[in-house]
Amino acid sequence: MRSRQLIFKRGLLLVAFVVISFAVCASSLSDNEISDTTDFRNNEKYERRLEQRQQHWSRLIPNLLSVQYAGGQGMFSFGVGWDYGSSDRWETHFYAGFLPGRFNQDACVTLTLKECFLPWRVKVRRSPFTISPLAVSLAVNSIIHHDYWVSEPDSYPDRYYGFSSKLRFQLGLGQRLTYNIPYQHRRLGRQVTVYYEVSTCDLYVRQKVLNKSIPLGDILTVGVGVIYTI
Amino acid sequence: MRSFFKKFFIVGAVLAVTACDNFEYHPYAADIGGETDINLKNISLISARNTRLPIRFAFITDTQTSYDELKEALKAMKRRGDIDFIVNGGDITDFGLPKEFVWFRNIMSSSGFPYVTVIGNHDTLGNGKQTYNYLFGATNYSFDVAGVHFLMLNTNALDYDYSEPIPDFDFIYEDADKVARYNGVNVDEPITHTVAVMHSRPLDGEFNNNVVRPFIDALSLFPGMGADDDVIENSADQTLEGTRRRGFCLNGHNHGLSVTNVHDRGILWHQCANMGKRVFFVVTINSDGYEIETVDF
Repeated sequence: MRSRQLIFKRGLLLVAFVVISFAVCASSLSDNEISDTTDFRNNEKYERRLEQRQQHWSRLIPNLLSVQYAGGQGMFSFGVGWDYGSSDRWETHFYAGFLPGRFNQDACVTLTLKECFLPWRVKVRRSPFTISPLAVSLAVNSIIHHDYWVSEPDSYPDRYYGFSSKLRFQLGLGQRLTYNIPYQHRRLGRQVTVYYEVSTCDLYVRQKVLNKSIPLGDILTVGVGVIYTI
Repeated sequence: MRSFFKKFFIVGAVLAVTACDNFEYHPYAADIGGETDINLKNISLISARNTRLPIRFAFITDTQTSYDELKEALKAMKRRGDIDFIVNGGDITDFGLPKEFVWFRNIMSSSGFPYVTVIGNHDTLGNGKQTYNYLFGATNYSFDVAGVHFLMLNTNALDYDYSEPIPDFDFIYEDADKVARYNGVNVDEPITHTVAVMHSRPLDGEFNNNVVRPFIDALSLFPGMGADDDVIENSADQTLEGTRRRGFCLNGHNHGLSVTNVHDRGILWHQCANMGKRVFFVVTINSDGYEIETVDF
């Protein structure tokens, strides 16, 4: 009874501490603002630093939203991404996809980190469309389920299997068709891209290299998707 | 240049879309449409087609990265013309991938030979256990052909935890009881031979070597395997001398040929090398005993 009262009192004190310190911080911020507006001395460097900080951190905001069907990253996968580099040739996407359960297998989630390179963008004359005739991608995919591991559990001798059942490395080639949304009609995004990708993974490549009789088509996976560029 | 890209785009898109079969969700979720429950189906075929001794079957194992060699082995078996069915000693796949299982299944079914399999350690990787169960059936099972009892066991202890017993002694004892009851009823045509097939044998790294002795004790309950059963005598091959005439084991896993009399208990483990070494066994069982021919192709 006494110890419960003690815990309750201490908990209350902790909550009060958090609330008060938050209030102090908030008020101290507004104090700064108040002093800024009343202090008319010029501190350009400070202003510039604040702006630069804002700009640097804002680069982390993803400007690509994508949905893909199949392609070795889940039945449906949803991704956020960034485009960068000269002419926005480089893209990084992070997808979360789901694999439905089937017969005796559980449903699970897969995560894919994909890097894309698009060397050319060709504008289709007299139309709002652009074609990327080649999109090369390299991805690492992880399947989230206890049956899969990065390296063998401790019950095995070291490097017993010498591979990871959890992580897959995927190489893909694809093509894209982009619709450039006219400025007047934009709500948030400036482009919508549909794409397809033909990919394979490390284990498939190994089996194909060791077995001539396996048809090339057997190790290729197709995925289709849409990217919304902001 | 632009029109070239346009054509490139259209051709590429058409090619990709026509590969409609290939909308794969993940390498571990590849489509495995087609024949399932294969062991059970093939057992019916094997038992129906082979009702009297002698029977002759091929034993292949560890076909995992050797699909090319497997095709050639099957051609060699067809040319011989004397193989009734095929027994696979496990490691159908290298990574437990659904596609690897399917490649094997499709090659075997187009060969025309009925076949049965046991699960290998590589087949348990990823979701391989579930895929194996779906395609082939239970990992411990048995069947009879012309008075020969085939005991097909999962011995890949390293890949399981205690939630699933490896080896499954309950299964083995129940199966031994079944055979004993059958022989009690069918006095005129009893089961006289036993072939135990497993991927990993006692004293392997995969096997639960804590139970080697009780495992051999359990095997001894089967016809031909018992301490009182007939042994091979006056054999030119010293390794065979004094070992069970009508009871023996087949295994793979170690990617090499060997014959082992584990703990000198008189039951031989005949180990075949992996398919990559271009070798398989041809096992002939007659009423007197058995013969194993090692075939290089």
